[in-house]
Amino acid sequence: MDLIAIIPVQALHGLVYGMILFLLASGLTLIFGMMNVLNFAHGALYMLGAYFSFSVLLWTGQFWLSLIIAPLLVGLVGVFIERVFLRKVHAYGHVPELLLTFGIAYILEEMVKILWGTEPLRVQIPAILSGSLSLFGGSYPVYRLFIILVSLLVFAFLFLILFRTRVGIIVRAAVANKQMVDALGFNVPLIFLLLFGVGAWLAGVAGVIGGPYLITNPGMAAEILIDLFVVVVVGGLGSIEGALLASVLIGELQSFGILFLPQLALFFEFLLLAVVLIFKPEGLLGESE
Amino acid sequence: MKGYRIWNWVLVVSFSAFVAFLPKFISEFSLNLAVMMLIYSLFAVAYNMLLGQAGLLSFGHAAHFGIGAYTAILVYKHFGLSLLPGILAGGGCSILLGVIIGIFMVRLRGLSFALLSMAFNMLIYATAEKWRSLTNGEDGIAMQRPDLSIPGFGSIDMFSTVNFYYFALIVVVLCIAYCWFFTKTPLGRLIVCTRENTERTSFVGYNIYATKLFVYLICAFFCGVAGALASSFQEFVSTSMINLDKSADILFMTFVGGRGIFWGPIAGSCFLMYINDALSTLTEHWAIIQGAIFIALVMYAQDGISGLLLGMKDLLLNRFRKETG
Amino acid sequence: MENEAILELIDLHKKFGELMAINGLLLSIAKGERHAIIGPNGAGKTTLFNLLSGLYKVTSGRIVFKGRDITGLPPHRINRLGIARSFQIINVFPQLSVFENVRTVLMSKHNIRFNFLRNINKWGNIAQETLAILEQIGLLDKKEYMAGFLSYGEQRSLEVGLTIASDPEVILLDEPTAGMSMDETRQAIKLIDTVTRGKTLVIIEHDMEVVFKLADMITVIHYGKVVATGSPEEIQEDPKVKEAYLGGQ
Repeated sequence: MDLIAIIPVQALHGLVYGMILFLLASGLTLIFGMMNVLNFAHGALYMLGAYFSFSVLLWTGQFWLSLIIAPLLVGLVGVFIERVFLRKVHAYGHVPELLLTFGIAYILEEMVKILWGTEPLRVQIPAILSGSLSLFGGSYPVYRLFIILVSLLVFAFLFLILFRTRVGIIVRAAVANKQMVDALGFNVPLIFLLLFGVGAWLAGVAGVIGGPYLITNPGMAAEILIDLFVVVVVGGLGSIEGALLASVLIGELQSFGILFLPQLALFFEFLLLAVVLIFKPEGLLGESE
Repeated sequence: MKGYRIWNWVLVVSFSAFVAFLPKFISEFSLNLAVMMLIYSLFAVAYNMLLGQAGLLSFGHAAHFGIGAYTAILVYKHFGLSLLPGILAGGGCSILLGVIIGIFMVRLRGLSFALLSMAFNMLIYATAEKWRSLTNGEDGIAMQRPDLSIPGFGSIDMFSTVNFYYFALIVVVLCIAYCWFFTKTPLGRLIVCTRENTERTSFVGYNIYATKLFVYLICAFFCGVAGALASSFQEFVSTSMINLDKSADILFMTFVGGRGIFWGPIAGSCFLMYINDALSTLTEHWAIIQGAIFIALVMYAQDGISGLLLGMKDLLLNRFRKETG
Repeated sequence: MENEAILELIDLHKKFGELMAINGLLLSIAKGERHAIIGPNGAGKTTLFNLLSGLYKVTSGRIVFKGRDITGLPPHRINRLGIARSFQIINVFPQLSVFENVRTVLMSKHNIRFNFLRNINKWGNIAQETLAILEQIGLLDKKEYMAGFLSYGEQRSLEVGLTIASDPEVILLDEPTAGMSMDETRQAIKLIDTVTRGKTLVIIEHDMEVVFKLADMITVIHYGKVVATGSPEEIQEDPKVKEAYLGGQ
């Protein structure tokens, strides 16, 4: 095996997974930054995206339609969770909030098993995306490049909203200092609601495009949640830039780790999480004291 | 108030009689369930030292339960020891693990503590899964129950469930009795102080890290004992006893039972295990009901079942008092 | 009367990011002295207490207690050496009884920390001491009440009680009369006077009545530095003090 030739391809694999992670981590870290809640149900929302997409595909046969509809449905689920459950528990403190999102994740996973069964599902991707491109001297699946493309589009869209619109400024301000934003007369509960909904929507997008790649199955929530927590802790809870860096880092770690040390890849990741939590709970880019 | 005292004694005596004569009037299968209820009651009471008394949420305590479980089986298998040493070894190894991960864990609180507990649980699970030569990975190790040898007395065969039931009953009652006593000791009161006001506790002269570590280790011992009892009873250990699902189970049981009241976790484990058993024959989606109960309690009854029961008791007694003037 | 210094702050600096909150602070407190620290809001008074009690780490400088350098020691060690502090915002154990609140401090004083084998009620002598302290702070009849249910004034008394229960040599009180009515303040002054007799007291206050009733010496702090130190009369006359409080008006 030619080692040098492998590297760009593996790096690309890592980037693909990193992009999916970032779609999830960006929402998760913003939700934490603003609401101080680590949403254990985020992996389950990602899973819902994949499963909703499967069903839309089943009914309509249109992948592009599912790409629009499924994330919106997940966004609605997110809004529902925040409004009906989270809002009430907010007042009780952090431990009950954690327990609540944990319980919701648990229930969502069981519901998926009931509605769609426990076997992995085959999601049919459209013909255009099924082929391979010749890249780096070999052939590379188009679908994975598609994942990167969609992710970049979503990020560009989010960046525009967050940094170029009034709504975006308000959201960023609320993440930085919600009391002030509240004092200025903005409807902070509504902002929370929207943020949670958008976070859920992002998770839905990740699920739709990730499902065919990472296999749609009831265990996918737990699988990705572990990587997700590592990303969000390492990158710093509340930091988008940190989430981006950490997502790519973990993506590459997985990609190369599985290649060279398949037995220990997971082990090193948990070790990284433990090390970061022990020595720098604020993450690599977070603020200290 | 004397009436209360008599009632309490009546309850204690009849409950003790019930528990002591249980094997006489239930089936073998139900006795199996009873033994598991005992074991998980101990696990939950110990776990509540952290969750309820110390205010520390761990998402990874199956690590201690599982270490106890593996240690017992391995000690029987490789050293040919009998039942009691196996149980004690399980508790001991759990303490060792507690020392290794505890010194890092007790520096953290809240979310960080919870996440680190998960990370360590995952590390230990991955180790158990990969180290096939020791643990046989996911397939697990089967081992017949050893005898209970009492030095100077002889040994008692543990093949029958009834015998093991009485053994587990004695061990669990002794352990839970100690855990109750612990809440009345200086350290037991102190850990509540660290929960109530960590800052002030340190400002009145206590080293809170050392305090938390001590309590973490005591909790670890009993969780290890529970795990050792479980694997000894089931004559089997596998990675399912050390994984995150098991950690979630004990969190559910303890929280649903009620973390603010000493016997809450006991009620929670018995309750959940009972309806798990009862409902799993009716529906395979028992887990959803468990999840729904959990969420409902998080939202409306932070004190769990025990809180609800005590609340009802107060309500009824008040009614009773009003009516009798 | 020449008393040796029990507490010396030598060229203290404390930086928060870019902000230098304590900027070269020098102070010497004599044994048995009652020393008030006053100054405008944000001058660094509570930060100073936080440094003294070990909550914050010093950026540079030294803290010397009875001739021993205690800079950088953690809070529990500083307490054990004999410096105890109260908090501006009431910092008791809300869900414990008043009795248990104080007993916790006394257990620490008697070095009983990790005992997990004996019922806490077996220490009868400590229970007696607890009752004595409760009587001193006027909360003996409320000993079974949950601390969180006391009135504000009572909680403030408990706050002081927790601070003095360990029989410290140096007592740091951070705005002990904050939020009190005139009557409550007068009672608080009497309490503080009684329980700190024979000890060294350092008290942060805004209420000048309290300061003048209690203090032997006053230090004025502004922008993290000492502006003036002296007897109450000297401070009242000092023009620098007036400037610190009135600014550029």
